[in-house]
Amino acid sequence: MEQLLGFAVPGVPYGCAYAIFAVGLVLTYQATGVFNFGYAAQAYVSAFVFGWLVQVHQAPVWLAFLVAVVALGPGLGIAMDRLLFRRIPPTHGLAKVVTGLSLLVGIPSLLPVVFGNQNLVGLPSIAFNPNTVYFHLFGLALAPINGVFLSSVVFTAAILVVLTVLLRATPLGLEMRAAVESRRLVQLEGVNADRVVSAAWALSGLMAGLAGVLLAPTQATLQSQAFLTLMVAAIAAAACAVLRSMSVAAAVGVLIGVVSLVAQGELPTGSVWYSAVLPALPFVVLFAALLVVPGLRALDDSRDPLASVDPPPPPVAASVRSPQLERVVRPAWWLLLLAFAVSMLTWMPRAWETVLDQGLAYGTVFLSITLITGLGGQLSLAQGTLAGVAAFTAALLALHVGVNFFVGALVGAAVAAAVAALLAVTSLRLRGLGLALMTLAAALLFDNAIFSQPALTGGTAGITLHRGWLGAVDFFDPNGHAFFVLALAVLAACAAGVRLVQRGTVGRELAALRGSEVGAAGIGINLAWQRVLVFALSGAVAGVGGALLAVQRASVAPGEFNYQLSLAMVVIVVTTGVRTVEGAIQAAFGFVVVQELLQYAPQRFSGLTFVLFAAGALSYAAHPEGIVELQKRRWTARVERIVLRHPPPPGALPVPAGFGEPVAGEQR
Amino acid sequence: MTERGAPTILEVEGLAKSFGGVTAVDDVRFSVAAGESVGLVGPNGAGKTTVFNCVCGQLRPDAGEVRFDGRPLGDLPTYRRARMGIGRTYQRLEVFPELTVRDHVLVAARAHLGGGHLWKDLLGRSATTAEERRVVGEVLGLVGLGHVADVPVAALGLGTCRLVELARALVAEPRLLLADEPSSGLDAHETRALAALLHQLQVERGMAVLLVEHDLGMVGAVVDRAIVMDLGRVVADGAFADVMAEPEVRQAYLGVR
Amino acid sequence: MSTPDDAGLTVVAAPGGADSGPVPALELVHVSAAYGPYRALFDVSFTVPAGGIVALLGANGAGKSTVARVVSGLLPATDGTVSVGGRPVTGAPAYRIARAGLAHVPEGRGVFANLSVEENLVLSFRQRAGAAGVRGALASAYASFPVLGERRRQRAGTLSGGQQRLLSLAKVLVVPPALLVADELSLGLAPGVVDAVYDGLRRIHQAGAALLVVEQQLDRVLEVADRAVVLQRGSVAFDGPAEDAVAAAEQVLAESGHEAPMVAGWADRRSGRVRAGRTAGNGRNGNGRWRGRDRRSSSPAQDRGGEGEVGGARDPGPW
Repeated sequence: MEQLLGFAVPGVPYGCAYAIFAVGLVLTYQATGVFNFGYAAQAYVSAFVFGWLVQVHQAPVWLAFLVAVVALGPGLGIAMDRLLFRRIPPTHGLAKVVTGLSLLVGIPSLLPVVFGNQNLVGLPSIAFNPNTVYFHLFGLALAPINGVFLSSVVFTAAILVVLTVLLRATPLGLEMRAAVESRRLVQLEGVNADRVVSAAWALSGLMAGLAGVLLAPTQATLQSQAFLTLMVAAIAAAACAVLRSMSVAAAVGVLIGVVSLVAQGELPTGSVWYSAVLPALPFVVLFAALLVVPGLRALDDSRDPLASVDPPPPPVAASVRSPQLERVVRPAWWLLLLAFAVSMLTWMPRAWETVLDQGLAYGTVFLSITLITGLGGQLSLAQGTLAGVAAFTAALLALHVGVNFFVGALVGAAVAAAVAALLAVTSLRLRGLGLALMTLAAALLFDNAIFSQPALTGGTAGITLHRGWLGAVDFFDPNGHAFFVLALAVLAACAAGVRLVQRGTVGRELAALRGSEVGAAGIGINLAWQRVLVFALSGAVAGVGGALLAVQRASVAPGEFNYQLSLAMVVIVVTTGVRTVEGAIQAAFGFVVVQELLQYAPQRFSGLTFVLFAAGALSYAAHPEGIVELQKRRWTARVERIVLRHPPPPGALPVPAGFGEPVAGEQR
Repeated sequence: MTERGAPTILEVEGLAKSFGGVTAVDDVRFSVAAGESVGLVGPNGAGKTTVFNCVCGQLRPDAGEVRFDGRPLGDLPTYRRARMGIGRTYQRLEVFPELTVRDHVLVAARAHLGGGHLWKDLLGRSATTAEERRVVGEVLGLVGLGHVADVPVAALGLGTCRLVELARALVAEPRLLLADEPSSGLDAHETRALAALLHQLQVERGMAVLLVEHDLGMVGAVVDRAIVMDLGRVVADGAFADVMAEPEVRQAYLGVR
Repeated sequence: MSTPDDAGLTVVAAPGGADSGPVPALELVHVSAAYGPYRALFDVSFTVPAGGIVALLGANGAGKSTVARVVSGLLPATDGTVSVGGRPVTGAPAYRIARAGLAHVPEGRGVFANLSVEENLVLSFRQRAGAAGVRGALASAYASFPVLGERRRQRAGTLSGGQQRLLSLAKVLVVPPALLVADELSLGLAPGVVDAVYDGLRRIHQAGAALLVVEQQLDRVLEVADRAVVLQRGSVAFDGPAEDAVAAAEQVLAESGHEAPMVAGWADRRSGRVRAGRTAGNGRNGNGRWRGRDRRSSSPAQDRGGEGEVGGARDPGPW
């Protein structure tokens, strides 16, 4: 018993870290209607600025706290609201997730650009000395209560009480909850909705800043990774509370912390339980919660009864080019492709050929996002994992069984498709945010329970590919073009396949599903089957791309296929265009080229790629087709005006009489 | 139509459903003969839309059974019921904003006629067939949507969208059409035209129609029989004029004693 | 469904509720509005006199809801001016206009589904009756609409459609505003409840409120209205006394190729004309079936010589 307590007591502050993040996520969701993936980034910014002021500028702790938490926290929250989330229509769940992800990916990369690379070590605590033991619980030597314990417990409890009272028992809290549902309706009651929503975001930002500064002293070196890891684990606690009850979220958070530390003490080291299940515990909880809790199936369901006031989305058919222009444009594309292939085979410098080869491989992986998000209308945060599954399968088959890597890659793609299909089957009842969280849980499970097994994946170094695995042709020859030809062929085949699906029956049925699942079922479309189909297809394409990436790098390592890659990939593809095949390919080339160009810039700018793409993805709400697609459309229209004598008038759709009365938002 | 001895197409028996302790539907039983048109009327909260959702599979009833064409529907999902011949339009629009009117009908036609397979897509063999073009053209003509066939529905008004839903349901040649407040949001003229169309379809295609509607004028113009619901129960079932004359119905529906 | 008895609806005095005088309660001058690129209102001008009741009529899509939204500030006017109680409110945010005494009951379910019934009422009453008046207003709301009292702890989203509609109307009927704009007042309500709602309207009117009512049931609204405005394709087609409105509405509809609206009550609507048409239809096509792939019997499209197959050029449908 004493020993159990000895493990459990240190688990409490550990769990409080989850609890603080979980409470913050629930608060933000309850008060603003956004599941804010950027929360960890906000916390990191405050912690970073706090540390920077204290260590680099020797500012007193209270001053640094005032600046980093009291001023910067709410300021950042309000800025996020005013500049980003306010512009997203309340019904556009996908855009909220994508915007949050962009902040998560972009903000930590932006800090070194602004402040330079800083190595912040051993930050001070704002209250209670972390290393002082204040007293012993129950007088037990094994249960010392130190400053870390006290500050985490005291602050978590205080935050919980204050926020619960604020949200449930004050007029402002009532107005916040009402504004989440419909800003317009709350305005009709005479409430200044903009101010209420800004207050909610300021409060959420303050909490994020507080979380950052509270948790900073527990980390040896301040890193955004640690915050990210804490937040994704805290999502489990938030999910158990159905994003509704802050006290449940806090309780589950503490419980996860305590259980994992107790289990760490009690489980035999070296067992599968210890090495695989324990690190994945929060994600197992998240997975289970998403499977079982019915409330999580309807996260995106609340609709604004006044949504029909919004102007309708721009007509989708506007991208149709006139036939005359098509006759010119199509051969031009083929010429461009030919020129690209010839250049790669002849004059292209080696370094750039490698970069563009990488682009081809990434392009294939990115196509899987076109399938699942562009066609399926669902966000998957596990595409990197699926690519990894195929790459590891192929490598392991070659290593242990001696199967040719390419045959293994096909098997791997099939396995990835099966994993994706399985994921689709288990999450059939989830949509939008719920599904995104489910795929994130799956990715984290793979990262922590499977990819992390050194016996299986060769540890952080991964598995090195041997020349012989790939047959007679030397794909690793730095002077040859074998890989380029292979990658081009594979990408072309996958792109053609996606295109055919998009234009075929399946594509149309998926478009129907994106519009209305109820309506699609009502005309005999099998939702479940379509979902499984698009997941499996996307898994297979991601798998093929993963194997291609492995060949390009001549190795497979777990770090190359972790969940952070998946998050970044979504942000990158959404930037250029998630609806079209070209969008994915442009995303891949844009990504590798920008990254290569930044090699020439000072080191602090190395993260700028993600900042750029994250900034691009922020426009997702306004232009879901992607900025590249948008520009292409604009330029096409311009060229048509110049080249053609009788250009179609802009917005050539007939506007039927009676437009303007409610269409989609009509309810009663 | 029942007197002609037409077979029963829909049978609802002992249907019950409650939401969080609030009983929406309680022991509802009725049947619809093939080719018959029946109005399902009653005040707000009477449970009409809940009955619809149980019939088409969007909701699972807590108790009771729904039989279509003599076959118990049990736990069959919505899409299977749609393929069996239950068409539906919705009180709250359920259109696909990205698709044009023609594509709405096409996608429904293909789901009905079959022939949509992934391998066909991958081999580039999923172009519209002549048969599909014919069927789609016919339905568009029937409901009068020919002039907006190539407009995405996002740019159409409420009334037109209701017709798109109707066309989408009709192309699958349903044997039973569930129409949920089709006239809400339409003006009197449009309502009358819609009533005429529904009646024409029922007569010419032998399609059974189950109509939920508040506009009793429209109900009277379409249906032979009316089922009146109040507080989750069936309070009257019979010829429309007779049912409307019953004092219990007048009290439930009109609040008139 | 609850019907307020005669003494039931106690009216709580609202701040600014007694704001009557020579200035009109609402004035629109040359107002235009649009949803994105789609224009919905063109040069609309009319007034609602202080303490008056104006019915806003027109076919579906004529722009009635748009007028209501422009007045309450949900949709900005692209041109023209709107004044509430003599104060110009063009371009003002909706909450300012609401605080100036305007209550807009939007079409459909104007409630917060995730808040409880009581929280919905409290939110509204705190703004309209002040923090001190909330308790009294709640009591009178539950007295007038017992069904809401029974379900006060229930989430508003779990109410039936009609009950939700009742809840959104209860907010404004208990604390009378200076000006009430009710959109599609009786749509989706059972006739018994419609009576109760109209009783409520009369009461707040007696308490000094001016009303702008969008309504499809012409006969009901013209009983209470002094004036009527008929919209046609986003413009005012008629603005005059309520007695002349039916004729004007018929005229407007006739001009646009429509028939006269159905004004009669439900009992008369089963007219012999429709009935007779159906009997004839049964006789002609009594055995006509159109099922499965077998289309030998007469289908409507074939009757029209296959126009439907073209599906593009002409519009042969009943519309």
